[in-house]
Amino acid sequence: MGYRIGIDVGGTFTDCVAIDANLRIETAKVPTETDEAEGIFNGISLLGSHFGHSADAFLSQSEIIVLGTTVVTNTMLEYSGSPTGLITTKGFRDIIELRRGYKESMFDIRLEAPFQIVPRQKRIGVSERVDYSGRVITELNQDEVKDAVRRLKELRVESIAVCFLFSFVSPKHEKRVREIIKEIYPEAYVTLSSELLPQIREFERVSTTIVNAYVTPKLSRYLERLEAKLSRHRFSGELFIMQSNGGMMGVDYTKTRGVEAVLSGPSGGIVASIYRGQQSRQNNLITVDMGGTSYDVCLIQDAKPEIGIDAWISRYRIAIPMIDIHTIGAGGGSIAWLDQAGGLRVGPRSAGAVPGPACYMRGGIEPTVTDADLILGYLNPDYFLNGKMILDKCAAERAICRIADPLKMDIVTAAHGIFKIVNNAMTNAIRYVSISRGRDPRDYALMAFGGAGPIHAGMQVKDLGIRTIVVPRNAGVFSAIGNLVSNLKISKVHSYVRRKDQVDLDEVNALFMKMMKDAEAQLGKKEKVKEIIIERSMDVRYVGQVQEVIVPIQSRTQRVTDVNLANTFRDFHQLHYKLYAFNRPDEPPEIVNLRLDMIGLCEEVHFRSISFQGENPEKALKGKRQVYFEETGFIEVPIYDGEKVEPGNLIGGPAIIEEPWTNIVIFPKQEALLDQYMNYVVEVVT
Amino acid sequence: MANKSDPILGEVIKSQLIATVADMGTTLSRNAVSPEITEERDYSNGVVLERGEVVVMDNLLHLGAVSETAANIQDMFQFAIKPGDVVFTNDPYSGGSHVQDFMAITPFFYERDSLGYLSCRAHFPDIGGQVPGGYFPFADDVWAEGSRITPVKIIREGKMAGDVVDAVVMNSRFADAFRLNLCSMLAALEIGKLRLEQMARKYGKENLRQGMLYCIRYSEAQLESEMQKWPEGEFIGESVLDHDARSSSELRLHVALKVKAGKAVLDFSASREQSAGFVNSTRANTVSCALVPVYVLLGGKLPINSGLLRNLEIRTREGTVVHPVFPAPVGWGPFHVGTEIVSAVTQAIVKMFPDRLASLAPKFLMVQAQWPEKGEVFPLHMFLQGGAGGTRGLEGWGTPGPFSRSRTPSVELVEMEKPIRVKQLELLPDSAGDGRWRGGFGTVAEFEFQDTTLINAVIEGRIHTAESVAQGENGGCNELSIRNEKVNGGVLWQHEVTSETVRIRMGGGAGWGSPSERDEGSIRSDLDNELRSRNPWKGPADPRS
Repeated sequence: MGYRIGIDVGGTFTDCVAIDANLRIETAKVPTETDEAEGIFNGISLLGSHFGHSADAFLSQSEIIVLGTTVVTNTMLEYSGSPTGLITTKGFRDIIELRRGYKESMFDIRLEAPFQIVPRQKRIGVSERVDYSGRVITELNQDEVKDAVRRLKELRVESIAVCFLFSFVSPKHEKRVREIIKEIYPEAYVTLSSELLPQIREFERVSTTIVNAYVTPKLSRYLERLEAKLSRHRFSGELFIMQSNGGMMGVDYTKTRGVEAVLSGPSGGIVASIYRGQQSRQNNLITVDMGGTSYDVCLIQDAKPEIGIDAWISRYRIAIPMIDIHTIGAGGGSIAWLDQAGGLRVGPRSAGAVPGPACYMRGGIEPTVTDADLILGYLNPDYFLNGKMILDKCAAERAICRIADPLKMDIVTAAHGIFKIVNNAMTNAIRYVSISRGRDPRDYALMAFGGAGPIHAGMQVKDLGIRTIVVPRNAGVFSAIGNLVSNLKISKVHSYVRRKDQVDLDEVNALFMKMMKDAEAQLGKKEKVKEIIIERSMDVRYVGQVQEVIVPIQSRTQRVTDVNLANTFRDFHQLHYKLYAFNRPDEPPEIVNLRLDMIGLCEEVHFRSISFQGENPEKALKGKRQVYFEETGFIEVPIYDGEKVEPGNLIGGPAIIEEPWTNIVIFPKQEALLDQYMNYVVEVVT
Repeated sequence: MANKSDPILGEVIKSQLIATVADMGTTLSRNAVSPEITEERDYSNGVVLERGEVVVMDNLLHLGAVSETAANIQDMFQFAIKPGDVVFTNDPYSGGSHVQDFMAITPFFYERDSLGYLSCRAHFPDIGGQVPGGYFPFADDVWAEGSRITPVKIIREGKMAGDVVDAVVMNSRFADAFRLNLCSMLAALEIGKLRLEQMARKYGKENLRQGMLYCIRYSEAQLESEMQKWPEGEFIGESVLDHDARSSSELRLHVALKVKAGKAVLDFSASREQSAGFVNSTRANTVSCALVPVYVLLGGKLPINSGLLRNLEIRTREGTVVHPVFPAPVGWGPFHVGTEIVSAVTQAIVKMFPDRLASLAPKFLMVQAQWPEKGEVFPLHMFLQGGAGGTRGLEGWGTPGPFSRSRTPSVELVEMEKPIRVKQLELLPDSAGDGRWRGGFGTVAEFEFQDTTLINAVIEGRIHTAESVAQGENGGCNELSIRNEKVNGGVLWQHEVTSETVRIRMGGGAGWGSPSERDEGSIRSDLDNELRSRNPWKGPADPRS
């Protein structure tokens, strides 16, 4: 077995990690370059040198590379995709702009109209119509299609999205349009809605289709460049791309379905959380990633991430199944301010990295969460970001004064106020993914990472009654490790709208079979696949409802049987009750969509565990300082050097562990253990 | 303790109260079965104190009704409200808006102490009256619109009063849906209660109580600080409605905004006498609508509650269209004259600050398809949107924000469920009011029906369209046509169609500033995007030639 490489391209750094047949792991962190491929190659070269190889020699011995990329997200955030056109049913060219009447903010008249990634002049309606049963009402007018394609070619679009009403029942017209495009404008990228997302509801479908058409050419060119570069440097293994559903797929698949890589970056972090959680026997997790500007929360149940289908990215609706990450604007850089009514508020505005918090001494004067953390003693002014930065406590105090004075509070009370308010916002975000969805947070462990996450986690568990915190050590290349250990995964959907009593099992099985065949074909070469798992589910609702619940079908056979179906409906009633405190077991439910996930399990990657040393952490003790806790006020607490803490060491709170990239605050009545997989497990002592 | 010297805990409790009503909303809208609740999202959830003092709510357009209904119920039952009771009513003359809106309210007790009430209010599809759905332009009185259920206890100390519930439910043509919606409301109240209990346990009763008061004071203080910017004086705003469904004469709404010594009055006394038709707005509804432009000025993010009314008086005179007396019909009040109230107040505020508002209210038209033998009605106008005005620096788009709670339905889902074919649903070119920054475009929708269908319609905005701000043009006209023939009156009732095409156009929003100052790039972009058929270029030459 050769090297396996995981790469995560972030905004600032490209993180790389590789493992060899002897389970030796090396990591590399290099700056992200404007051309992502450049940074990736730099990272790979550095990795190779750690193993004592030249880049070429290293790549020639590498088996797979799994990449998490931000190209698609950034393309959407910057609206820098390819010129794109839309061919759609005549009379419906504006569905994307009407967006079902949705406005992100109801009372903000300064809210601008969304930028149209496909402007109206490039949205062309052609005569054709199919009804809900698939019957053709109006034949496709091929002359109009030809005119439309010629017009789009004149307008220099590079990519064409095709989305007709009811194409999920009968894709015939969309397929014919593709043939015509191939004749007239073969260079154009084509996305058919019936292939990308054969799912009822025209707005959601056309939006997803348009986004795919808009982002895919750029992603595809980038991947081609990367592949060429890698093969020039003798890489002959396989390149995989992390997908928004938490799995990975081959590069050829991604070249036609860019939209599915929109959460490629964050996906790795979630997979890594699951992996690290499993090591510490925690399969139910709430992961929190607190950086400088944002706080991302994701719920993991039975070692599977929560999947959502309701996402908006950069003001566009994307209806493919994606890891459900809930983000709020709260981070270390979040600015504390007083509103018109004199209320203390924190965020969502952030000081970012420049000017940054006041204590960074880069010109920031406004008080931030980091300034408050410093004043409360949670941060060490002389050791920050791996000792590369000194923090100025006086500057932090001056900044906090800006809110403390008008509130007639002392600096510490104001700093603790900031700490409490930002914690409350984050706790509300955790509530949103748990309590609001019928889950009890006490059934989960909190996994905290990101620079500021483990500083605040100890307080959040108190608020939520959670008993365990897991903080992965060496979280520096966390997402890249997730990429390394991920499996192939493809998610298929097909609408099938039937009331319970109208369901035809043969139809259901035929559709599942088709989805399975398609998925199998798209999974590509299966040399790396050890085992294939099929998971089926249905979107179900009560007649009259507008939203569905995704219900897994418990079935071990290829065919779904009557019994399976009956059980699925029974599960629906239970799930509905759990989620919405209400159900109607006597009413017949209705299926809307069928879903199939195909997971190709790859060879497991094992990391070496390190056996326990003694319980006593005194070798890591590096000093003491005054730290503030609500119950005690300022007290002197021990400070530990995280790099010297050994597996098996027990650290009782209150205490602080200073890791190179974060600090872990152990609150009173909490106790931390570093386990054999290098996870700090903090238990709340009750 | 959360008093003025500890705003931190107040802030924490405030944000959790907001999360609580949001959770109630999720529970309600996920469980309910009527498009009025699930898609139009015509509902609200709230935390209320004694005397109808609202702590927090999730829908400004219900603030007046929730506050006044709660106050009425508290008055009526006095000390007879016990833990576990739920009181239910839809009475427009007990503080409500129209008979379709039902409100359930339950007291919140913690360790035997009363800490306030939870409210849930939602639009139900039918409660009897002359026509399904209750919108009846020929109603002479409120009974023709539906049954009035004055406040009754449907749950007594946790036990459902089955006989009372049946007596209420059986008034509806859609009893099953009614019952399910009611259950969803009760589930929402339960969730709210659960959240408040968690908060009371964690922060203590007294802190929770103080936190609620903090929440109200907070909004009050925000408005106070906003009103310091208001110049003293009297500012007049007007808005005009085409007709009141009973006569074709126009109906003018008048408001005087009087600012003096840090207080303000929105005085509607000079508005017209109440109408014989269903375009009357109950006082409670008038209060909600009048607050809309004010809330927009405040940035629209602070808690919706009674704090907004502490220094701002809404003055109405009994017997007018904004304060009708029993038993006048009030069915369309939340739309008309509701939107005229919003527009008139906007016009008054614009006299103080032309830069800070846009035209905020659309003119609506109601078009229903009815299949009497099936007992079904479908609101075709739900597909349409439009009316958002331009504002300084920004063109309008879509529906004005305050009226954008509604989600338009999916064409594919509707065609699958109803005998309707949608032939077109697009932006409507030339439908926006021009201006330095133009209004948003309206929409056009065309329908055909598989079965014989009756069309019921009430059309406003045919003549008087969305009113402009700062010398912009008014918005575009609404129009209903059947087989390419424009319907000329304001009301069309029980009109039978078979294979004819029904087309609805909803006008766009009003412009802001003079059209002659419109920049070349914006004009060109509208032309390129085929949103303008004619060239409105007022300059020396067509920029394209």
